[in-house]
Amino acid sequence: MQMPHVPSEAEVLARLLRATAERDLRSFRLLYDSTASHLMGVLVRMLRQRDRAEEALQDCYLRIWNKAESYEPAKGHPLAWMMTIARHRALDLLRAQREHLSLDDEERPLPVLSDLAPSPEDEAETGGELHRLEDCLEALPGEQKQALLLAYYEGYTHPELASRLSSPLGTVKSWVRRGLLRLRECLEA
Amino acid sequence: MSRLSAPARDYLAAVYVLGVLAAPARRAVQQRMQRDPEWQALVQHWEQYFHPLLAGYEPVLPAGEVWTSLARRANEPPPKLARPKPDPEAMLAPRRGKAVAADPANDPVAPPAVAGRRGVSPLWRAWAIAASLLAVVSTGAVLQPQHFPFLSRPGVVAETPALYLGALAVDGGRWLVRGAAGGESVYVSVEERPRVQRNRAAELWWIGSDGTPRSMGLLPTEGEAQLMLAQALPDEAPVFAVSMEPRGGSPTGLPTGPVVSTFRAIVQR
Repeated sequence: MQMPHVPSEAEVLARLLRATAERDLRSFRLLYDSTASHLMGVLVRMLRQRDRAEEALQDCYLRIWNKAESYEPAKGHPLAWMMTIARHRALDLLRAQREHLSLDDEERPLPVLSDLAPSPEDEAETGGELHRLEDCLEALPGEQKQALLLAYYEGYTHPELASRLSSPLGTVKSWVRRGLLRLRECLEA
Repeated sequence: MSRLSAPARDYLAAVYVLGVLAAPARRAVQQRMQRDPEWQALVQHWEQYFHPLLAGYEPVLPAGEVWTSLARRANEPPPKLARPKPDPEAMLAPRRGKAVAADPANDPVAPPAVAGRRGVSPLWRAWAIAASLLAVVSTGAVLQPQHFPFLSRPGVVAETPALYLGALAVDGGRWLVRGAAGGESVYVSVEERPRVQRNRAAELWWIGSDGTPRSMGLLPTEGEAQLMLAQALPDEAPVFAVSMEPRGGSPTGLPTGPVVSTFRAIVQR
């Protein structure tokens, strides 16, 4: 007898997204239960305030409820697709406010890349992408790497980055630009 | 495509994804994405470069009220939902019927106030509250396949076995279960911290149409686990149930302690 195939996390989420696109609220609930803490993690980190993050979380899931059909596997892991929605929602909200940088920002540590060890299942699904990205980031000059990671995780603009890194705006812009170009070269090599 | 050179477009897409753009430039990119699939592809490309970094965000549990409020908003009729901005992504995607949700009398996700008046337990609430086995059986009618449009989608041939999904909530947390029809194992992941008394163990069961509980093994209290089943999952959606048993599991092969959570499996094909 053939062993039934138990789908991976990614397949399950993709199926739940399909059912969500067809307005099945139970599937949507299961999708929410399985993923909300990850989207919330993005929003809390970037927006800094729990209440704002929870409000934004609702916005994100409403968007997913209404746009689930636009997910397709070519867009990557369903959770990554959903977390990206959260990240851009946070960025939009940050850009709508005046000042984002605060004094205690200095004390916020960035994630350590080598700690982002994926589970074996993720590893199989992403084909070692994390290691490639990690290697390419580690190969960058320190200030370029730091500028990219701060921008990615904290959602700083160029001027905010400059202020956080106590460096001239032009210098920081060029760190970002050169960092991105080298990263691309490395990832496509 | 815009007048920008290819490297300039690529750079703009990259800094958009990275997030450093100020509001006006950010909006400009979003507008281009709405109009132009090439821009979407460019941005998508950069998003995927950075996807692995998403693992660096530490998960944070949202408050329980978020779902309650979300479920209410998801049920709200237009204006908000029916007034989408022109969205190339949505236009590219196939349109899907929404007839089931549109008919309130047939709506499994009716808002609580309306459902309360009709005296019917709304599905979303049945989900949120760990119902007793009896309650699940008595609301079984609202779980019939006509409420799952994806089950009756024309032209879909069941080549792969149906997938059963369940969420078993207890005080403090829940277990998410997934397994295939005919499958001899299931995967369980733990959300939050389900409360299990000291010297007790939470045991998972499936109950088929004959009403006999079959043990699926002891549930983990954290992380993920694969449970090997003594009896393969049935071809019809089972009810999952959790009972509290002595450490080591039920001594009799049937639940001996209180059933603390049940869930009729969601079927996905």
